[in-house]
Amino acid sequence: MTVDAVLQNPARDHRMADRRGPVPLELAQLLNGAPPADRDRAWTALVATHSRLLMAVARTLGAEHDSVMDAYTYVLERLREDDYRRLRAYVADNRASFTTWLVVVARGLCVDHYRRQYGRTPRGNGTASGTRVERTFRRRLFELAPTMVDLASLVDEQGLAADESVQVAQRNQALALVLETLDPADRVLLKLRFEDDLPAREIATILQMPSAFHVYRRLASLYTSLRRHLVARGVESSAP
Amino acid sequence: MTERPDTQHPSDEQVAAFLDGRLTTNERAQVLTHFAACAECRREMTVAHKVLGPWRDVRRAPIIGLVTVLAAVLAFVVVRPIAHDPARSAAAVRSPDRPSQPDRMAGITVVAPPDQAVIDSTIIFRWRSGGVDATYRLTVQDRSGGVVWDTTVADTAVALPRQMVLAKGQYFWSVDAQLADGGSAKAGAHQFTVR
Repeated sequence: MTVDAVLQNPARDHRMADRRGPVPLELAQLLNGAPPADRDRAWTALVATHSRLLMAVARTLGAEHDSVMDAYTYVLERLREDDYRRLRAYVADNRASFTTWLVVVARGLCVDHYRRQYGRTPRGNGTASGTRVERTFRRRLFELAPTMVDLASLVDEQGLAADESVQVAQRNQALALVLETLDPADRVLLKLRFEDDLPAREIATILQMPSAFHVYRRLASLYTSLRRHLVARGVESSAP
Repeated sequence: MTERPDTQHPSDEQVAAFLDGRLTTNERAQVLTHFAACAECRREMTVAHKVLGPWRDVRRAPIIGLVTVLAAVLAFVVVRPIAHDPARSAAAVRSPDRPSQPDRMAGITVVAPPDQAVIDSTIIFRWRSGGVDATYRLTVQDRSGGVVWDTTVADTAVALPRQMVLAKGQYFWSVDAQLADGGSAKAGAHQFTVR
């Protein structure tokens, strides 16, 4: 049974299609064609209500005060442009809570601002560093090993001989092919755990699983399945 | 192991709805397929989820013991009389000669729009709280009794979505409260006219 199978039932879809979130009052007042003075008041109220949240989003790209304030200002300007086009898009869709939507949009705008400033994608906050990739990969090898394996015995790919590198590439290719056969929710589960290094509790809330224990149980089941498929493809060990 | 997403990046609205668990099964499967292949979208989603964490915790942080006590008090003060007093239940059915605003019905005081209101702009429904952690189901019906719109909220106010354009005519709205202790309270139908 996959993660999504737990959530699938026709009644849920019906509920989802019908479910509309409440529009915050300030937002309703802002977009309802009131006189400019009233709209300004509504905008001020909306900003005041969500400033702390927007500042928290602005801090995801760095802690320096000036750059945080720049990003915060940029987000407000973009939300206000084109007669509140983005806010209208929220009201038109209106499935998520306003807070969730605002965080997603504000984060996107902050990344956009960062790219404009520095001409590249921001790193940090989930972007894997070399060390982290190495650590994650080691953990992946450890988790896929049939039983307890001494971590010290794992091979550093940097120092591999040519034939060993080929074996590693073949093993990774086999793993990629097996991963492709998994349900998307299971693939995301593995990615969140091993590439993004998220704790099980956080993965549980993201994937709407009841608890971290369900994440661990699902992972254990996936390891077993992956091992079986890898063995069928001739990969019997995590070592080259 | 390089992967390229073979689907379009999900919109901000879709990512937000994914985080809130509001996508349909098909849409969720599409978004998950994309997240499995697109590290950048996945990262943005997880960052948003992290930022939301403290806010979610604050929203869910009602002190458990206090809630339990309040639920017990509510059960005694509000729900019990409603459940066991037939006279009061009967009185909860509206009659034209009863004062309309504010109108206390089965523990919920309806604030706006006032009964018999004539409306030509944004409709904002308001009522007084039915208790801590109560959720409210608001239903708008037309004259024939057909449900025009309904929604479930934790707040005590909700605006009719802008995309919901009501035709001219008479409508009725009512609020059902689901209380924290498992009890419920119901406010009868209030009429308004859209012109």
